[in-house]
Amino acid sequence: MNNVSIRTSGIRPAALWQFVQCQWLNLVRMPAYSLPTLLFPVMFYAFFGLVMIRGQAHYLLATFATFGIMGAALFSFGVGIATERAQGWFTLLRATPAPLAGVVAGKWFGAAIFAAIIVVLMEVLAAVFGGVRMHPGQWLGLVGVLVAGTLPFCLLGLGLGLLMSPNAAPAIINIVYLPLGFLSGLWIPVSQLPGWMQSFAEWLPPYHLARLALHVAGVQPTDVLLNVLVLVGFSGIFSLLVVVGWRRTRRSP
Amino acid sequence: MKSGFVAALSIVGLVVVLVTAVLLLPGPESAPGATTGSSENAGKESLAAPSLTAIVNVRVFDGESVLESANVLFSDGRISEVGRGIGVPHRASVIDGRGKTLLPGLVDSHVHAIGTAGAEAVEFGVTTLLDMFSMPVNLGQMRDQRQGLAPTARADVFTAGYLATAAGGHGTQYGVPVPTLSSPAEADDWVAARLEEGSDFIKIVIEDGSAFSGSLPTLSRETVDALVESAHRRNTLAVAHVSTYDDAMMAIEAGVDGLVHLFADRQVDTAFIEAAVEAGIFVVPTATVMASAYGGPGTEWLRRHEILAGRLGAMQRQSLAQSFPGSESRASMWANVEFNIGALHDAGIPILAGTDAPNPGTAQGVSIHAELALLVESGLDPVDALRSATLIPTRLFGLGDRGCIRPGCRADLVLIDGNPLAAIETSARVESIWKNGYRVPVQQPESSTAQEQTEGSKATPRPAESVDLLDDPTRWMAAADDYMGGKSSASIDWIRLADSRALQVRADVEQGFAFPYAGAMWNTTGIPMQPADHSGHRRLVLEIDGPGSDYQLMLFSGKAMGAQPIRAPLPVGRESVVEFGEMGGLDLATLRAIGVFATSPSDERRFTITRARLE
Repeated sequence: MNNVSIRTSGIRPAALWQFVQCQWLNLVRMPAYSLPTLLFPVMFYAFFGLVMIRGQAHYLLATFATFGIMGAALFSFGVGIATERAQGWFTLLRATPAPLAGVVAGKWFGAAIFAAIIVVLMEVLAAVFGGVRMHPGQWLGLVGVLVAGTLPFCLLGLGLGLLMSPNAAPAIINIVYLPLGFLSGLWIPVSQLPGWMQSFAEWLPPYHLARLALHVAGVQPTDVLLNVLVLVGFSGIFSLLVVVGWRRTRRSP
Repeated sequence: MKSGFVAALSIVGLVVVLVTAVLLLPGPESAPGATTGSSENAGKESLAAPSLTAIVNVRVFDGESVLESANVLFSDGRISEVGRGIGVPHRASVIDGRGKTLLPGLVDSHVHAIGTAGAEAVEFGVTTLLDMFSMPVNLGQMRDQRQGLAPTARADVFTAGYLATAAGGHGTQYGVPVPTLSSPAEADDWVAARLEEGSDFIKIVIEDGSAFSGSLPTLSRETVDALVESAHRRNTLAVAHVSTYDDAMMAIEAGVDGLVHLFADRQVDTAFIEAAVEAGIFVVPTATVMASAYGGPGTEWLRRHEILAGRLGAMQRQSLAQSFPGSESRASMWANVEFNIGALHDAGIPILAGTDAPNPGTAQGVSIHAELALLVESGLDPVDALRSATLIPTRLFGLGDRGCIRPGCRADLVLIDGNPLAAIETSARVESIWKNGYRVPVQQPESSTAQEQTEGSKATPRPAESVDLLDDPTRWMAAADDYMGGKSSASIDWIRLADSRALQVRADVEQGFAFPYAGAMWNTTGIPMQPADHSGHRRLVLEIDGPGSDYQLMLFSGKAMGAQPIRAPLPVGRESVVEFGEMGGLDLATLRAIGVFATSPSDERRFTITRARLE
């Protein structure tokens, strides 16, 4: 970490690269964190999407992959940031002129790489064991949509990570993560949920990302523009959360 | 700096690995696979532009009538000249058509164009599909493809998109979220939404399930009226799914343009024919799928066809070999189907060839040849049967430049080895297909016979020692009608007993399919339904335990995968011995599977198979 460049103003590509590189080393050097985070959603898909529920591999690929990248984003940001705050790393960073955007970009890079690995692993399973067949553009498109789709969840994780105490972070993020996934129909299609539960889905960001994933995978068409706008809207709301959280850490890290 | 370089390199490496992995993932054309997707576009279309082609000295059926020994010229996706003694320019590539018949690319007027339907159909001479319900995905692209003349190896698709049905009604059981209707007031918006999505016509489901001894919610007469009225106001065809005489009559009274199934419950009478003629409807009888539901002729001749068998993928072969459960119990009704087709045709009602592929007993493309043969068997002349797959759908559905061989027509062409006008089953001798003037590559017949042989030789002889079927868990699988679109489901589990193990089956038999079932199956080989020789075995000893008394044993055997199983009731709580010698119709040399099923609708239950032995 001693070669983190010190800049006095603005965000330079070199600074961004430093954060990306740090994040990369962080992931490579901590397989005890990286591997479970990567394998948990993939195993989840293998057990429930392929073994338990037969014949729905294609549909569930899209929704379980959405679930997987949401987890990668929420945890790498939420829990990561909260822990780093506890370790005083944030205080240290604040003493440097390192830009907030650089920190975020580095973290986002980590989440994006995780998301890409998770989706590709699931796609390989789906193709080999689930008999799923798609055009090359669709296989790539699904990765693309879900990598881009980490954004709102990264912001949500970041906001929560900044606002919560480090001890509370993992528990609270799990409490957000699991119901969010369930109510958005990522495990069971929304139409199969009890009636009164179905109405929640459209108010939740993962539902809209899953719609896009299903659309790209050719499973179910959707109103793309609407889903994208909703996700952009949520990203805006979560950005506010981040700003509030950042202000608070400035006062008391 | 060095660590920065290593990090950069490894990041690039990872990205390359991920992208490569994705690019290696199988595309929709790689068989076999569960084809649940529905994008019927994109793909590998970097095909060479077709140059001028001439098919000479060929018998031409132009969609309407026959021209002997003619020349047909086409280039850039369109037919330029047709006639006898037409000059052939030097630059043309010439195909000798002596002894052969050139047909317009065939139209299948009732399919569900899911997965790779377009690519599958074209290999059998079907170049246009009328989709009677699938999820509306990328309809814009679908339309672009069929309007253009770009070379392609896929059939074009016209579609109804979603079907109009009641909540929980027919069409909602496939896991596709269908927008349903509950009142006539919703009809106009519903139709508008379909046209907005890109539907080419409107399909209305009138199905109370009674034809299959079930009960389903269905649209009210008023709603059907409102749908038809709305479609017609928007200059759109409205067609109806029906399964009974009464529903067909109701559809006619509501003013639909056509019926996309025929009924088998009754023979048509004068009243029906008068109403149909008066209303000017057309009928897509879907004889192929009716044969599969009402014990009609099988498809073995196509599965073993000298030319076509080699083009069948594993999934198509399997689908073609199936039939609807209980089909043989309704076999007495098949005669009604043939009678009705013949009577309607005689009365001048336009008949359109449609298969309802890929339902059990059908497969995309290949089944059109079964349909043509069944239409002729029902009383149509071969030339009328061929019109039903060319000219007639083109006119009634407004398919434009298809279904014809005239200057200006789209160069969708099928070259048949022989004369289907003399013997309709010759239509299956599909030698070459051109789509938009592009010659579609197909599997050559030599390999088809080879494939048939390998299939036959897969039956490996086994010693006739006793086999405890519970020894090998990998041979067992859960089986239920959810696979056929029903609502039953099953799962299996192994439990330990004192000195052995038993198979525990969780079966949830739900009314939802005509003949509900849920249970477990033992496959003779590790591959489901693959035959093996068990002629050394004399009997099956079975013992099951569980609630109810509706258990059935089904023995699957025979050269054809779709052969109906032999059934026997199974008592509960005591050992039963099934002597093979007493079971007529069982072919132990090609035993495929043994199934144990619960068959009456009931709450979820568990039953166990404690003994299963071949002796």
